[in-house]
Amino acid sequence: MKDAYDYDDDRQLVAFLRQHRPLPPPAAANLEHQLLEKLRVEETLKRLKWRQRRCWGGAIAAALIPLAWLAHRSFSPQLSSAELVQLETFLEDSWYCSSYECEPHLGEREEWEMVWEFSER
Amino acid sequence: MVVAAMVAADKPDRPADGELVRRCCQGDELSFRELYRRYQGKVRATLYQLCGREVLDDLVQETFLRVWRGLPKLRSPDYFSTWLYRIVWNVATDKRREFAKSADLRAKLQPEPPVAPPDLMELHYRDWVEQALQELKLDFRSVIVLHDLEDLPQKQVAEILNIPVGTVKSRLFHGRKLVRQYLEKQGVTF
Repeated sequence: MKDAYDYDDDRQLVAFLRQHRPLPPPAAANLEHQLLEKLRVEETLKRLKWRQRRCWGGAIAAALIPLAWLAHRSFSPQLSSAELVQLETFLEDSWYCSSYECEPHLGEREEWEMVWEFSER
Repeated sequence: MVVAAMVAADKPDRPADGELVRRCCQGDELSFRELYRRYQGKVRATLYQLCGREVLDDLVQETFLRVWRGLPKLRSPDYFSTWLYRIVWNVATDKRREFAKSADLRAKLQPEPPVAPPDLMELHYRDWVEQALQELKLDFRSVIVLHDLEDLPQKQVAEILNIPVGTVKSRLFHGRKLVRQYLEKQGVTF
């Protein structure tokens, strides 16, 4: 615990200082009580702040969800009903052709072009 | 750490500082009260030597409030006493900075004479020791208070003040020399 004193004179000096050290005045009778009260208040405030932060976090999240939904809706492509029907038809056709082998559907003009091609040969 | 070991060794039934710190971190107020009761005398005496009697109760409170706030961040609970004295040192230096800004620094730091002294000679001695310490620069005084009066080893004083052990030795040497000179002027012989 104690260090060896470097000098004998110092040892006497230190003993003198310890013997006649100025003593602090006694603490206020309720100092400990006051301190513990302050700690309790501080802890309560800390908990309140934490709850407030959680409430704010919840409110912000609640506000962000509909905003995100709206943003998603407004930025996704909007199709007219005619386009939707066309898309549906295309999907049905492409699904059918991917499952069964089928000839590409040729238009009337393309059929005539083929007839002319064969007759020329 | 050494002080903690000493405290625990004095009364083996009592939990060590580290154990109390761990309990405090779980919100155990009784453990904090135990730490307060264990150290408030030393904290009070040190703050008194460094800052005087003015607002002493407030400084003690401020120290323990900082302790409570900082406990969850204390990495090594077994070093509690060193950490506590560092907080004492910080509180004392902060307060002295505040005092330095006000014009009545001297009046605030000058302790009042002790009330009802045991005898006249003892009154003189205490007064002289107090004056001798007040005359010292804070760097010297802090080392003498922590090492010579609070009986902390030089290594711990170095850790508390965040200075090398060599600097502690040097400040002790010069501080004691100045104190001795002051006391010898008053007629005290060693």
